[in-house]
Amino acid sequence: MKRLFLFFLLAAVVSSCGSMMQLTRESQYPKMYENMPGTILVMPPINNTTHVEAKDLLYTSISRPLSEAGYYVISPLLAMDVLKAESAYDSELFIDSPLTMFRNYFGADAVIFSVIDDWTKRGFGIDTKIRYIIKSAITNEIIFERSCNLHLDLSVDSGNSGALAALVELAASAIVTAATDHIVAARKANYYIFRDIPRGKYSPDYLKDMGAPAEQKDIRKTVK
Amino acid sequence: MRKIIVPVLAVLFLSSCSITQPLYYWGGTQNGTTTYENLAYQSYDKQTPKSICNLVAVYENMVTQPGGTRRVPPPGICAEYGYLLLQPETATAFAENATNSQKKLFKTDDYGAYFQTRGKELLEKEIEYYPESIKFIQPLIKKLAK
Repeated sequence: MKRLFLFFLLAAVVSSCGSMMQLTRESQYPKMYENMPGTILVMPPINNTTHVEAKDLLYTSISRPLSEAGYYVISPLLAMDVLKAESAYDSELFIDSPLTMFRNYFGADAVIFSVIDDWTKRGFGIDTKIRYIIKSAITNEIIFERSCNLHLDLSVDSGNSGALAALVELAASAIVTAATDHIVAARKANYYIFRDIPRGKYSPDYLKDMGAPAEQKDIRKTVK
Repeated sequence: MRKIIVPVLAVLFLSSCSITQPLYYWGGTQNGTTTYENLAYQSYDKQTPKSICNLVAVYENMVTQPGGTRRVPPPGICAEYGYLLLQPETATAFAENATNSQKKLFKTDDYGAYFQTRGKELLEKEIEYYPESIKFIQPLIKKLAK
């Protein structure tokens, strides 16, 4: 009985995080630890969709997850005014260029670029595909790169059966989908992208999280 | 031996997927996200005098009652709030549109003068909390002083 108990307890520990146990933050993001940026500048997103509003909306949602990961993030709302005044609001012009000007002007150690590849309401849900690239403002190399292809399922399931229930569910799903803003899906994508980023200097886990589990670089999720 | 193994395994199990405590307080939650993000997004999307008042109230709450494990306002918040207060239209919008409970946050009726002083203080606070911000904030202070 004791042996059986210990066996199950060990099995629970080993399987508790599933596939996340296979990768560590250090193996996924070695250059983050090598460079360890303290200050990050968020560049306006690069929008590859026809939804013009996506760029500005995503821009307001990037700083919180990075701040919570322990980084000093230059306020995007303030940086935006400066970038616009300096004609630097189009990130496409800078993603493949030296980033020293951002280090000199903002004191940034790293610059984060985001690329929106999908931002669409489909059926009863929202599809979002966002890529993030963090580049060192000192060496210009890519130190973090990840994408999230997320489907936010907004279908309503009443738990009842029958034709009338199905009709009500269809109507409710349509209303919920119409009323839900795209940014909700984008925030969920941000959560998955940044949840296992190496922790920055304001986190108690700073330089102690190399062995912490990490997910695959490219994430595909369907969430409710 | 079993007395040691069982607690060790139990601790490992509980810590393997532990929930991290937030570092900062973001004004509470609203519509499934933080109040700050929600109001910043709303204000950015369609800024109205009312959205400015709501934003001022949540910023004030975040800088005067910081929470999370670090107990300081999040990065950039003092600077954003200070910058907002220094915009001349903010005081006018607040005086004309703030609710009574929002107005009670400040012990003054002269919002124009008070917001100017407080705005400058907050930009300095950003540097105090986050010294690495000096490179960006100091030129901003000088620019706003002109």
